[in-house]
Amino acid sequence: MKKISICILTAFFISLLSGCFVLPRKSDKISSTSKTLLTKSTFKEKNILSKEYQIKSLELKKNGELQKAIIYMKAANVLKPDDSDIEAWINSLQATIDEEAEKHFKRGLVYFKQNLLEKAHKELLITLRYNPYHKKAFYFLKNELIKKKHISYKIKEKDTFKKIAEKIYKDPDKDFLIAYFMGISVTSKPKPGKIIQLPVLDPKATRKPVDVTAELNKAKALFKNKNYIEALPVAIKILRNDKENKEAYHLVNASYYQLGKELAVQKKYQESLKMLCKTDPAYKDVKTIIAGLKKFLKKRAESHYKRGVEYFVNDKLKAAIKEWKKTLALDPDNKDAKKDIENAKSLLEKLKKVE
Amino acid sequence: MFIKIKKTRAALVCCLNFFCFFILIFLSIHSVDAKNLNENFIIVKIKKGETLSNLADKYLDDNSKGWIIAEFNNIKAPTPGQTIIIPLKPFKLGGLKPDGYQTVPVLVYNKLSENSSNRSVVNKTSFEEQMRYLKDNGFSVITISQLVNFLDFKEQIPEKSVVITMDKGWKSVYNIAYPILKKYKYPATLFVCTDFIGKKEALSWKQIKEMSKNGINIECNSKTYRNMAELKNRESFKEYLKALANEILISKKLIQQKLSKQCNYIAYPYGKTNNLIIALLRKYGYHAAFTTKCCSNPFFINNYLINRSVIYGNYDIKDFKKKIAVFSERNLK
Repeated sequence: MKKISICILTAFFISLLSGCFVLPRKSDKISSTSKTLLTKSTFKEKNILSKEYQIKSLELKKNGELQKAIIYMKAANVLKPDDSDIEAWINSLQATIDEEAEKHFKRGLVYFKQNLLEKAHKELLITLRYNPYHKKAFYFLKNELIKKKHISYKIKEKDTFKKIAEKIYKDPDKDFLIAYFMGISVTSKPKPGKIIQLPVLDPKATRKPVDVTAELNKAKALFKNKNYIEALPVAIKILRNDKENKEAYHLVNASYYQLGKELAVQKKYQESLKMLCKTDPAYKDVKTIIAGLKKFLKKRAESHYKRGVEYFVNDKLKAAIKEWKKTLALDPDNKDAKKDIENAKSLLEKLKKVE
Repeated sequence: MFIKIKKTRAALVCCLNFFCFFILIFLSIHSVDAKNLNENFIIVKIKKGETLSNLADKYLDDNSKGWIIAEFNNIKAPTPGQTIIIPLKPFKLGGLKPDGYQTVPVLVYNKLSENSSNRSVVNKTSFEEQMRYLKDNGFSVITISQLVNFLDFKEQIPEKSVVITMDKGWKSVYNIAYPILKKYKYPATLFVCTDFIGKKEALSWKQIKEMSKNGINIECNSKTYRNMAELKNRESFKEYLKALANEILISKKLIQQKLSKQCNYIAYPYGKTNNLIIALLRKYGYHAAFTTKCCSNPFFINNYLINRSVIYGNYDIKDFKKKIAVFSERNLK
């Protein structure tokens, strides 16, 4: 009886060592199905299927779907394990994949060092297409090829938060920010040797608050002196900081309105219209002025257009073009003028060729 | 007699030895086959009644992954007797192909309404039409976690994947979008602005909890919905930093506490952000963040600058189609 037990135990240990007794896991379900396939399918059936998979694999390789191609060929190999050609093909494809991936990765690094980021990006994508498990290529794509969003800083001996803030942000008062990202109090001392990651600050997030009262007084004074061009940016600056500031809003509208009127007097009608259109339509009589100006411009544009037609009829093509260009300057959407200029230009070219 | 017993025992031991030996041989052969098949794939002969879903459940431990089997074998459904390969490892991470790469559109809806619509309000008919379009045209609606795993090269996703999100947390999400999403069994993410909750037009915690239990993932859209990318008037940098931390952290903690779930994602108010906000998000354990830059997302995009396309109320189905690009052409030969 003792011997029997020894036998069973020996067999058990040998089988354990050879890795045959697999502990229950998901693959148990898998092996039962694969067993069905392997046992129930005939040798001939397996051969046919293996051939099909080989053809499919070659097709996939041709289309550049290399990961799938490898799987299909491995499946062909499982069905026909003694076929050394399949095994050789798998090894060769795997070697090609590895070589190509490495070649493109190295090329990508070269481009990266030359700061040719677009080209580097493409090479790294190709690397991952060949080998999706190329960790370095993935790291470079996700971390190195994008605009730096943080700065790494190694704390030196005698560094204080103020000193670090001065070095990184050129502002010692941002000492609290360094302490904040280190997760310690600003009153404590930073530990030398430690590497910290700090955000690169955006100008919009660091600008100094605007002194609205002072800026408003400045804008008012400029406006009073009829210096509308300079009053306008000051009032706009106030509004960027304080959207609800009614006085600044009024100054912006009043400046646009006055500038529009001044430009109209100078006969700069298009510029005048642009300024007036920027004014709040509810401001004073701006709506009426804009409508009147548009009507006036259309009328003038029309008269230039007609003059152009007269020139055209009298074969004065260059003069006609000149008039129509004036039409467009007053009425940029005038389709007839655009079309006629093109026609006149092509006629001029034809005439030149004939001459 | 004693010799006879001894002989019988010796024969028994001998038989047992042979038996063990054969078991050993059988198991060895069997284990080699299983090992080969289990490494990257499994070859399966389809039995009667087997579907993509139950094959995925059986071999991939996830019945929602039937698309992997379908895409790999280029089939719509398995037929009995057919032999197929089930890949056990990802075969198309990042969706890279010789002629380009996969992109994932993330859609964002704000307010919805029963009938009327304007630029910022999508009406029920349009929303339903858009969801139906996704279904009829073979799109798979995936979760934000699946998207982030795709961006991290950890998971492959269906070729035509799309993510649905909603911002702020208006009541219309519960009344209009939620029933339609349930009907189509689409997962979606709602980014809530926690200060709005319980107010007039906003959702209540009760409604949020109900949706959270039924396929709507609840994440953060800040506390007050302030533009976090800019300082306010007369706000010092120190005050700004404190305000940002509140926007990011208080809302996260509240969502986690109320819904007993992790809050790992944020949508920036007005879609605007800066490096300081991103650094704070990393510090406070957010995994990804969403802007409103109107583009689809390739895997190599920054996880804290994920693009989203706002769907406006004046969009017709042609406009909608333009927002759901799933592939970007580029020569990667």
